[in-house]
Parts: sequence; C-alpha cells; structure tokens
Amino acid sequence: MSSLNNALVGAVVSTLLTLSVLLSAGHALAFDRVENRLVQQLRVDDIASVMNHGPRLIIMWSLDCPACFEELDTIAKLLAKQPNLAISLVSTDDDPTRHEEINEVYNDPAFSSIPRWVYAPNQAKQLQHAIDSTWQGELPRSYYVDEKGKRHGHSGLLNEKQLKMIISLIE
Amino acid sequence: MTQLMKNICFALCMCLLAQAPTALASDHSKHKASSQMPSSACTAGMMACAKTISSVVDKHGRIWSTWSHRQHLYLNYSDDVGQSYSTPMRVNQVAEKISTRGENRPKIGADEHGNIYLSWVTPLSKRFTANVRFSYFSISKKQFSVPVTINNDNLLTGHSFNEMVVTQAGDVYIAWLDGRAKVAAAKQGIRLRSSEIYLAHANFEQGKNVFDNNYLAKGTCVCCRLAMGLDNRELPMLMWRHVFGDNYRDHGFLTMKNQAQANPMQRVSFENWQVNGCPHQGPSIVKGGDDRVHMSWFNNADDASGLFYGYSDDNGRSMSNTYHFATKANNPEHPFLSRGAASAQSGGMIQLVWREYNGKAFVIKYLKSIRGDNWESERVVATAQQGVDYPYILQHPSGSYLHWHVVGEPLALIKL
Repeated sequence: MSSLNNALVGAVVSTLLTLSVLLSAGHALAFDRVENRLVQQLRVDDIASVMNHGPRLIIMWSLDCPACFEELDTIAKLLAKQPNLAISLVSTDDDPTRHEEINEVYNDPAFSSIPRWVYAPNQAKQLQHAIDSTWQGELPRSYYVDEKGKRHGHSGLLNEKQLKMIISLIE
Repeated sequence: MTQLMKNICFALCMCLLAQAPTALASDHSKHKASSQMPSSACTAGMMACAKTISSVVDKHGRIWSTWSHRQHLYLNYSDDVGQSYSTPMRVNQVAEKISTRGENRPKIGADEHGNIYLSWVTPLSKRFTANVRFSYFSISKKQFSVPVTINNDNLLTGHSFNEMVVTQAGDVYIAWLDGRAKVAAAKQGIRLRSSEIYLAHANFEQGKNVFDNNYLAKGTCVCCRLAMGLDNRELPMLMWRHVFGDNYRDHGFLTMKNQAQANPMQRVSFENWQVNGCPHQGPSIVKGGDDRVHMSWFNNADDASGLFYGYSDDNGRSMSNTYHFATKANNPEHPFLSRGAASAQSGGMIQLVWREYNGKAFVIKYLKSIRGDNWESERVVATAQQGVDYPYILQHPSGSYLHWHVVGEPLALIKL
C-alpha cells in the first residue's frame, strides 16, 4: 500500500513537473505574442541599437514610480500633438508577471508611434549597469541621446517645459 | 499552453498543497533543504521559488520564514539553522494579492512565547492603492488568525511599505506610508506629492486585539521603505527618506512619547540629494546596547553618493560624523544594520551588510564595529550572478548569520 501510494505521488509529481515545464513554455509563447504587437524585451545586447542613436529622448520608468506616471502623462500629451517625436520608453520592471500591466500602459494610443521596451526578465541590475554604470536606479531617469550617439542622463521628473526644451533638440 | 492545461496544472498544485497541514507541522515532517530548483518545478508554497523571504529568530533559536507565492503567504521554521525546514503552512486561506518586490515585502516578528506576527501589503484595484494586512500564528493554538486590514480609513488610497516590530511582551507595532491625506487634499483640489506615516499598535497577549491608527509624520518620499526598530524603552523608533525643501531627499528620524504619540522629527542625513523621483532605497536603523541609535542609508548627491553610516546619542538631535563606507563606483545599495547579540563590549557589536553589483556579479559585503566608532575592513561574504534578494542579518543563539536569497535556490544562512 505504501509503495502504491509512493508510486501515485511520484506519478502526480512527475505529471506536475511536466505540466509545469509546458506551462512555462506556454507563458513564453503568450508573452511573445503580446510583445510582438506591443512591447519588446530589452536585453543587454540590444542597448547599443536602442540607445545609441540620436537625437532621441529615452524615458526609463517603472510601475512602482508615481512620478514616472506624471511624466508619461505629459509625454502622451505631447505625442498626441506630434506623434512622430523621437522618443522611446523603457520600463525597468523585469518581473515577467508584470508585463501585462506594462502592456496596459503601452496600450495608450498616444504611444502607438514610438518604440516601447521592457527589461528582459530578471535583468534589471545587469541592464541598469550596462546602460549607465553611474546611474543608481532612481526613477524617472531620462537620456537625451545627441546626434553623435552620446547619452546625457537626468534623474527625476521632467516637467512639460523641460520636455519641450529637449524635444526642440530632437525634432 | 491552453487554459485547460493551465487549469489541470493548477488543480494538481492545489491537490498536492492540500496534503500540507494548515497547523504547525511536527518535527517528523521536516523537509531537507534542496539544491538549486529549476523554475519550472516551482509549486505552491515552495520556498526556493520565492522572490523575497523574510525571517525572524524566536527566543528559542527557531528561525521562522515567510514568503508569498500565487496570492498566498506561507510560513515555515527551521530548528537547525536552515539545514531542514518544516512543512510550509498557508497563512491566508482566501487568496489575495501580496506585494513581494524589493522593499515592499511581507514582514515577520516574534514575541517571547513564540507567537509569530505577519504583516503584508495587498494591492487594490487602482494603481498605487493598497491595504496593510495582518495575521498572527498562535503557538499554543497552532493556527493563524483570520487576516485583517490594519489601516482603518476604508479609503482606496495608498497604504504601503509596511514595517513591523514586536516586543518580547507581544506589543505589535506596524508603520506604513499612508495616503489618506492625499484623498482629503484632492477633495479641496490640492495634489499632495508626499505621504504620511501612520503607526498601529495591538497586543493580543493582553487582549488589545484591534489595531489603532495614529498619525506620526507627514512629508515623506512616497516610494521608499521605512526603517523601524525598538528603542531602549521598547517603543518604536522610525527613520525614513523625507522630502526637505525643494525635493531634497534626506532622512528624518523620530522616537515615540508613548505607544501612540511621536516626538518631533529630526533630520539625520545631510547629503542634499535633490531629485523629484523615486530613489527606491530606504534606510536602516538599530539601537545599541546603550542609548546610541545606529543608522545607515543610501544617498546620491553629486558630491556625496553611495552608502553612509552615522549614529546619534540623543535621539537624532545631533549626529556623529558621517562614515561614507561604500562609494558609487560599485553600485552599492540596501544597507542593513544589526546588533550582535553576544558581545562583551558595552553597546554591542554593530554589523552592516549591503549589496553591490560590479557589472558581472552581485556581491554581498560585510562590515562590523564596536559601537560604530571604528570599523574593521570590509569583506565579501557572498556572490551570485543573478536573482539576488537584498541581504539581511539574523541574530541567532549560535551567532550572526547573513540572510540572503537567490531565486531558485534554498535560503542561504551564512555565518558571519
């Protein structure tokens, strides 16, 4: 009886592990489908192509940062008037369970014309360091990428006046 | 993966979970700590899969740990410093969201009887809104109380970054960043960009079973944890990142007049980091064996960036010289202070751990000092490539232990 129980438990665990692997793969596929439409994952190897070409304004933000949403609201307002501004958004939330929530933010029609990125899973510190080893992770963080591809960083909320000034550099 | 398969997998998880007791497990049911766990094998209540783990040592040296998985909080214990663990017990029987990222994570405390107190934050429907929740595990009844909401304003607003301390006599203090003033201000057309600190108190051993809510301070940064400890009167003391003047994110500190009323806030850091944003890095405090309060914090002013230490012998009215012990170069973050339990020196051994990232690996560093006056050379106590939680220190009868967690691996307890 004991061995039968063990065998049953073993079978259940084995099935569970198999299903877990499949489930995990299924999640990846599901996220890929969403990402293809809305948001791409930023990996360390992508940084040069995403962040080294200017003039461009890159806004780093997170779901945990109230000031970031103030800045995103202002950017949405500016994009509504000028949809083709050279602005990119990068979410620093590297927890894949939050990607759906990020997609909801990125679903704002105002952002439909600009590149939108999210940190690849479990890569927050690696990406932060690779983007800017002098940046300590505070948000919002903005980079003005000049015509030579040099990034100029700023920490803290940019108000509408400041954003318009930067936009005058990237138009 | 179809929804049907997900449902089957979920059902199997729940089936296995149902075999776990909801009351305290016997010593015979202990689980051996396993080696690294593939993420695909994570099932409900599996400690190794937790993003963050919080632990406390009770009077008898039992290490209790809590973590969340799929909207449930779990609790287990180890009587052999992490060599083996009891079967996890599920705290909340009704699933609810539980914040478990970074600094906003479940908290755990113990009283002299071995009762275990748990507090966590449950996000609500609207962004940046949440409630502070609480349950305790009665060691005599071997059961959890039904979780309750601590904040008593019944408002859909922010209540987060909870901290909890528990005295040996069972006084439970929970502090958090509170947004009720924002709601009141909004009704008058004013937009508040800072939070308030509230403190709740109860004592279940003495029949005070309902938490009161008391306002302590206003003008805090909205996105950093509080640091809370007990002073020599067994009353709470708090330190937090405050907003001074035009967005200078330095630190405030206060002690309590009594269980409900605070003394005025004292400013205790002066790096003058001006930023209108989220540092996401709160401070750490611990009392010495004397009246000295030890403090550590992160700051990022142009001419003063990295980790800092200082102490006060007069409850924050004046501060010692600042010790800038970790500079910006290696991305130092999240200092944690602790006082070694066994020390012949008056005031005790003060210990510090923090995390750095050097571009290739996470490094946990350690410093110690007698009373905070002179510090020994730092040493590296752990490294990992990725998935590293913040470091803490547990004071156990057998010594001081680094408490850190690499996702997918067993909780590491490394003797310092």
